[in-house]
Amino acid sequence: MTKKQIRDRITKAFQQYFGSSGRPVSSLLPTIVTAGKLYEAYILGIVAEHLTRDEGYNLTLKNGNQIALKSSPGPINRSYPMIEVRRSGSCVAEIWTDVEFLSLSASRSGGTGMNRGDYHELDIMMVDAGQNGRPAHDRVWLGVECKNTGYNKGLLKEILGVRRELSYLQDPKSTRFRRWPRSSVPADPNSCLLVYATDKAVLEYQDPGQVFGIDFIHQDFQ
Amino acid sequence: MPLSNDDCVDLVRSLQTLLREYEPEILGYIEERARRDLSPPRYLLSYLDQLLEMFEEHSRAGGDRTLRQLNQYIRTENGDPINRVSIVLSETDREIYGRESVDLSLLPERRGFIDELRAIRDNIRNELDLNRERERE
Repeated sequence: MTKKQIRDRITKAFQQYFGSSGRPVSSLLPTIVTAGKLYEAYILGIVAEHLTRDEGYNLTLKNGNQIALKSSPGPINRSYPMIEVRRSGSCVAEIWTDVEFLSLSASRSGGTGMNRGDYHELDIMMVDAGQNGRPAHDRVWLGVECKNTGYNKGLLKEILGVRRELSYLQDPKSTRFRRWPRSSVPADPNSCLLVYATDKAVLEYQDPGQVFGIDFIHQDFQ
Repeated sequence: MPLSNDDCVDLVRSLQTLLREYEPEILGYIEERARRDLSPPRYLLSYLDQLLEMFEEHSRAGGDRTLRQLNQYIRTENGDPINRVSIVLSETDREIYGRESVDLSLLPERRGFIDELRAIRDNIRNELDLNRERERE
């Protein structure tokens, strides 16, 4: 195809679609707020699949029939929908979205936990059952970051920082999982940390992840 | 005639013009994340990839797929299926957008548009691969 043919085809596609549907999606939904959110919910479904199929947990959504993500992260609010993780009838953990944990550095410095640097967000967080507010770093079983965007060095540095604020680098320790996402991790406390991204380039960052216990996973959204 | 670097730059400009007209907010989002360290052909492909990701995510098909995935593995207390994914807005966002939450099940159908955009992207990719092969010969 020539440049002209490509340009004409792109223009026609836009005109046909937007000409007939009228309003752009951004007039219905603020794109800046919604970008990446549906991917986050989709990855929550993928995580649920692994926990159910590979680990044998039963998952129940509490406080309603909708998954409620947040435009801005915050502490755990127990009136919001969350997912109970059960094994043999007992609730062993909970899954929350867009919540913050209290960092390892805040715990070491004995700070109030109220300063901006004292807590960090994870898109999806599996923690000990019954937590309220910001759970401590050692209450985290599993943290997940979801990126429906190009993966770059800045995002790698960000997740390395999160890993540091969750755990010390240690000889491998058993995790709370039998096999998924991993049975051992070079971290103390023994939390697992995953990055899901639509960009295949995420796999280029696996090497530091292997050292520090971060799993990088390419997952399309289509 | 094979696509040159200048052609690729022109095509990115055309996409920017169309987005400015039809989806200015999406244009802003993509521009902010554009990989300017890439060569013009790779930049064009990366631009189209990002555009596709954005439209995929903001389409009814994406919403339906997500609900199917969630309902397959998560039960609810009353046994009914999970019926929607919503975003609860922060206090500031509530002020700005004049609403409490955003319901992602209200996304528009975009299948035909996304398929066409993907076909165009794949055509360009094939074209550029062909260019590289020609250069090697």
